[in-house]
Amino acid sequence: MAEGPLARAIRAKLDAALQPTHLQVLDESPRHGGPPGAESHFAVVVVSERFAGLPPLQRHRLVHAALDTELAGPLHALAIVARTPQQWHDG
Amino acid sequence: MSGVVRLGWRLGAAAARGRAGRPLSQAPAGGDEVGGAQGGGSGSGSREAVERLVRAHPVVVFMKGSPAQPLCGFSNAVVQILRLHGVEDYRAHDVLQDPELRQGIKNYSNWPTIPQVYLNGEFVGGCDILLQMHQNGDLVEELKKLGIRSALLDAEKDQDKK
Repeated sequence: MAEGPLARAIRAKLDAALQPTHLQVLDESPRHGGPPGAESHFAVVVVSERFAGLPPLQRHRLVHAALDTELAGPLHALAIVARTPQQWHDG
Repeated sequence: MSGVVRLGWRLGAAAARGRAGRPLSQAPAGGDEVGGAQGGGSGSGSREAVERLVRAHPVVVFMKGSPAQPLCGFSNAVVQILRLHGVEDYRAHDVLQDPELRQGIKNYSNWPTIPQVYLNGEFVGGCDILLQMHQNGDLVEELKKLGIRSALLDAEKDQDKK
């Protein structure tokens, strides 16, 4: 399935900010009543060493900071899973 | 793969189907205070106004809709998780009723989304973080610090008897 422009922007911003070893960007908009490709509600799974030693709140803030432009714009909702590579491997 | 994200959704849905918690007190459940209770209009989103709201009760939630009728899946997940722990006595503010509050709470916590959960006046996070805390046992501990005994502790005891 092709990624829409917002999905690509989210991916690019998170790649640049967090250098994730694993990254999933999921358009969840259809689950919230939007048509396919609505690109309003996203879920991201971010696995990055940058999260080491940070509690969940700070990890999520890093993700928000990377996506501040999008969150001020078309990105209406964002579900976040933020793990270190160790946690991802163990989980 | 999206398995971890899907797990979160399934747990949210399971929470919705789970048994209701016991009320902590005889006070009315939910405590939904919409914009009108604060006089609505100008000032409801100011730092001072928000500060008063988050400090008004040990458990304060800013959500879409009310605990009786959440209007968003993420807000519903917060309500259901609290219900699982037997937390029915808390302050819930419907940001859909008050656009100034809706923006004010985001400014206050520097957090872009709703719902927002405050424990003892401190911002804890949104739905994802509350779900994580529920899954890893942190929520039971945080509630204990507030003098609130999670219903899940009694649920475990009941199961041990079987």
